Amino acid sequence: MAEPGSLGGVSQTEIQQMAEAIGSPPSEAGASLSTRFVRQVSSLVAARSAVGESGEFSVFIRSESLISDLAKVAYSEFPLLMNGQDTVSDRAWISTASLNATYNLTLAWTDQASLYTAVRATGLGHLPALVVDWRPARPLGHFYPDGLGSPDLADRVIFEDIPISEDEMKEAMDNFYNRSLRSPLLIAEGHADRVWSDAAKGIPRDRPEEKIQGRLTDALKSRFARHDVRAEPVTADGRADVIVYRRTLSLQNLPAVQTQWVLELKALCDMTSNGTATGSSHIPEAIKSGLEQVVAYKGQLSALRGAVCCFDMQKKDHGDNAIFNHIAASAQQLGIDLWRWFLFRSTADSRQAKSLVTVTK
Amino acid sequence: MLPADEHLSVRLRARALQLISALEKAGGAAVSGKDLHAFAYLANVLSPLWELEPLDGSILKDDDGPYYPTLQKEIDFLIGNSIVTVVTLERIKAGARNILGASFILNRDKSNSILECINRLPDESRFEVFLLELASAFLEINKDQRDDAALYDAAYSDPAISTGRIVDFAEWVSSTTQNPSWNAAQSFQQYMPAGITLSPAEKLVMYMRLLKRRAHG
Repeated sequence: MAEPGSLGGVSQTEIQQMAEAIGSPPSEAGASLSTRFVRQVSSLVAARSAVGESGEFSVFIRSESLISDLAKVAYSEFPLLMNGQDTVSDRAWISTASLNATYNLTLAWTDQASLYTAVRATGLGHLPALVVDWRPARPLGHFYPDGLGSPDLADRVIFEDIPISEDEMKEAMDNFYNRSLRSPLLIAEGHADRVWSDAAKGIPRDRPEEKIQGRLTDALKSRFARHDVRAEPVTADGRADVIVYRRTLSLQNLPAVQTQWVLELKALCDMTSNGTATGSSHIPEAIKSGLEQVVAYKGQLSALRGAVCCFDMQKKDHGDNAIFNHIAASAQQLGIDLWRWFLFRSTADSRQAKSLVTVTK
Repeated sequence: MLPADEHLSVRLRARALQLISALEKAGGAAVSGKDLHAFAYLANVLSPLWELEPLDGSILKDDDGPYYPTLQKEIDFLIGNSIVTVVTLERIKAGARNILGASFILNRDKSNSILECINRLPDESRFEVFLLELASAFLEINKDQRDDAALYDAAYSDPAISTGRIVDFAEWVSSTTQNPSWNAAQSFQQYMPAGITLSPAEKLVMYMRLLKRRAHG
């Protein structure tokens, strides 16, 4: 029987040496398989871009059952593709999330349309796929989580580690909302931790921000594939909800971290998780506190940008102006973005808000 | 209601499918029998890191590495029912003996619907996420050294427990403070820079990299 605190056959020195060798926490830990895949492909694309790779398109397909999937197509094996020494453009690839076993698919295609058609024709059109467009000066990425068979469902992937603009971050957040949070059905489909305890009655789960945080972190890691994303880093003023940063070198050529974004998440609820109504001052105070937090963390972390991200779970959508009116001037003065997304309590409400049908009398 | 032994058998069968599935999804197909037992052991000894209950809290220490006869019985059952397919079969040396070693994959036509049911259960869906994290880290170890990784695990390699004795990490002892593997994984926190609190996933990956380094020599 081991004594409490025993390290068994491992020594404390070994652990210390290992921790020092690893340095910072491994960025892939906790990521979904799709996000790991996107980040692995991004590393490969960066390596190939650095040696001047050009061409038209690459498609990387992620398999969870490689042996069965390979049985459907002709292929050749490229076990060392991750080393970055092989041309990847104008080819279709299939691999697992880690890219530790990679195969080049023998497909006949001449342009983007025939590439998508060729992949679908193999029966692999339902598998997650990342398409790289090599034609611009900097390659562009589109990730299809449901495969090339569902081309309408695509997420952009940023292959560069340059600062993320306000527009890019807002687009990423909008996409995350539209894909994962807009309606209770989307939340369930995403296999995310549910934010609603009873959506129809408007009762949230306890601390809905925490449920959103894990999923958002994964989505941002996938989109900004050359950046790192971390939840809950500690600062002297408390824990920031999400930061997006990149590892770089200081002017003295020493390893350094540049925090690009601080995101403070706020769920705006008019009910507690027990189903009782919150007071009228609760939401304005929560937003004001969010602004104070993001300003403090931005300063502590020397971040380039910050935003208060509000997930509005109230019964009625009052609009941005009414929600942010009391702090809008301060936020603008402090250079903090105020963003809000309304979480519908039913799929029907969500559909209706999109005004898909116009009734004429 | 199922009798207790059948209940355990069904749970083990479900776990066997989850283990193979996680390794396959992370890129480890076809899964060798030895790797699967090593992976099953690591899943048991490290699951308390994610506040999950291990299916087996102890194991007989063997020079050849962890081996679960009850798990093997369920794998045989799954093969017999075409839910798992044997890909290779070869003679391998196990100490002084020669035994038949198999590698296998899931027959997705049959296993997918079963796995969907299993993973819909709240605790099991969390276990699936844990297994995928563990499998991704396990597969970073060189293929021919993966089964050795378990031999280098903190609890399994505890010099206080000799071969032929029981390694108890969660049966009669606390699965946390009296589990050397849990303690070792937690220890990484003290070497992190200020302001960084490691998540269970990060501790797991760092601990598995330690096993990788030990296995690679």
